[in-house]
Amino acid sequence: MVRYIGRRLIALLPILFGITLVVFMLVHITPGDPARTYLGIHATDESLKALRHAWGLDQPIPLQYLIYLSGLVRGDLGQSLYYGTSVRSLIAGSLVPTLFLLLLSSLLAAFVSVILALIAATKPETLVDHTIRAIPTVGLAMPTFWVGTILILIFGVHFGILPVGGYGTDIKSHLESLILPSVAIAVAIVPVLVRSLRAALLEALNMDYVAFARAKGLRPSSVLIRYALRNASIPAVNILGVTIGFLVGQTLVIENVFALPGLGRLMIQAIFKRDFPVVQGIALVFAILTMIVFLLTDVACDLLDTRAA
Amino acid sequence: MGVRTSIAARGKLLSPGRRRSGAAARFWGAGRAVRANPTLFAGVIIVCLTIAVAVLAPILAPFDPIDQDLTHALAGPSGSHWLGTDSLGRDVFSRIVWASRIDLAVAFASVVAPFVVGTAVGLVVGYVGGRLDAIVARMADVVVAFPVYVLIIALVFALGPGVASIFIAIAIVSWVPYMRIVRGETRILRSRAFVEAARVGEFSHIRILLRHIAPNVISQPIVYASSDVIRDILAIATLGYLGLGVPPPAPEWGAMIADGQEYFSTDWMLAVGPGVAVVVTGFGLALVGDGLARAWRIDR
Repeated sequence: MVRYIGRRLIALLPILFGITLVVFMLVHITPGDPARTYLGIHATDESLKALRHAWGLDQPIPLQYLIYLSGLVRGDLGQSLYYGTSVRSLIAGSLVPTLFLLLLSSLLAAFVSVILALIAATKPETLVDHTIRAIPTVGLAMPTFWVGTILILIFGVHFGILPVGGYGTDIKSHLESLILPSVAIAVAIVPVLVRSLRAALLEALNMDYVAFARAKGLRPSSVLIRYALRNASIPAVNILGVTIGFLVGQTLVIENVFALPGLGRLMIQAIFKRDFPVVQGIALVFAILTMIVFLLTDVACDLLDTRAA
Repeated sequence: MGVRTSIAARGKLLSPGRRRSGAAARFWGAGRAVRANPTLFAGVIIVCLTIAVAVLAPILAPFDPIDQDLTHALAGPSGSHWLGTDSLGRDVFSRIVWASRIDLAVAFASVVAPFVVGTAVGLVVGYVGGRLDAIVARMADVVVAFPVYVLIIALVFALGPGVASIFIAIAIVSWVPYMRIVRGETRILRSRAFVEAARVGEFSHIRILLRHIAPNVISQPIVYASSDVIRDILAIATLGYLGLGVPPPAPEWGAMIADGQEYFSTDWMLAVGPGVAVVVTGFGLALVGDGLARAWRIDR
């Protein structure tokens, strides 16, 4: 198992290299001079030169990349241009709300999807099934930020039972302020999950071992959960993993709808301050986060699938 | 489908007298097509309606979408302003109508480049294989490692605001699924008998790719494109919402929702209205995608 994970990690190295290259190139695809873009049109030549030197922009590009890489290896993501502190400490300060939101929303999405898929798969080709199968078609078309604003309108403004934004100060208020954002993200993810999960469940229900379990006289509910759901969970975990990139992208947007002090909000704020190192650092962290989830998904699938072991 | 047409053909042969001619036959044919695939039909109608709204915007919209009337700012729905006015006194209904032009045009246009590039690269890579295939696969892995919106937003930021940046950012991110779909299909077809036969016939590789393989794989990227348009509409609206989209004062659904969110407790229509427009458009396109997938028997 350890050797297997080690092999997977080594296979990830070229992708990691590519990611750093993309993030590094962000500064260099900017039209014109990034120093000029940052300082504005009234900047003096000396200040431009000083900033270019400070950013290392006066070095040849391959050398700049090597300097950037050697910084990354030491865990140095650069200095924020606006806040003046290290990008690493800024990211560390915003990481927890994002991870918390990711965890809550994926749990919620997985839970709702399993319930809906179970209902749809046990009553195939009925009205309930057709209704559940229509969810992806509608859900696909709903912008997450709009769902978020509607939720604020209903539960925050109209009923006033949940906070309209912010993160609160203690664990209870954290949870309260994460409910609506998690629901908004789940609305975006559930449609994708239900479709695949239902198909996986139907396939599992057609298997011989399910027929055998039924013939043994096991209760239908235990056949469904112990046999069908367990075997359908492999494709389901896979789909959840593939969706994670989408999920992380949604947190970025939804944090800005609900003013949650996470990475997504930090990134958008940095964009408006033209704070290049912070934007680069967050893009890098998001990509690495996604890669870790991909890896965990594959490992989880192999653990669930006893045939592979 | 095959059975039905053969029965119809037999009917024609047996009783030439009952053959419907001209317009009637076409009408009945269309009716049967609708019943065979109501999803596609409903989707096409919704999409045609939204396109009609975009094209006829100058006629449909009662007011100029960027004309400000500060004395009538934030006026609620009324006879002249059906959905009220926004904080600058602009007619919300007119802005939603005009925004359909921008959102639809940018979304449809931004599907073209990824479709063409992804399909072409997928064909070549799937056919040639080998080292080129491995390199492209790694490139795709790198793009996919970034959460979609993270890379699009970072690219739009780096490239500077404007429609051109949106096109480029979406193209860089979304060629990958087209490439992967087409590559997979091409690899399967490469070893099929009719391709082998063409190769034995010493046709050029380009001819084999374009005349023998491409026509057999093209339906898959087309179905994917119909749902990709939705993703692009959402991406454009999201960028607009975050303040990184089509620059103001041009009316754009996402930016309108962001503006409206500030006046939530009093004028909720400002934020809800443009969202409904996005949902209706996306729903129509989703139906088209489902319908096409059904008509071409593509499993999704």
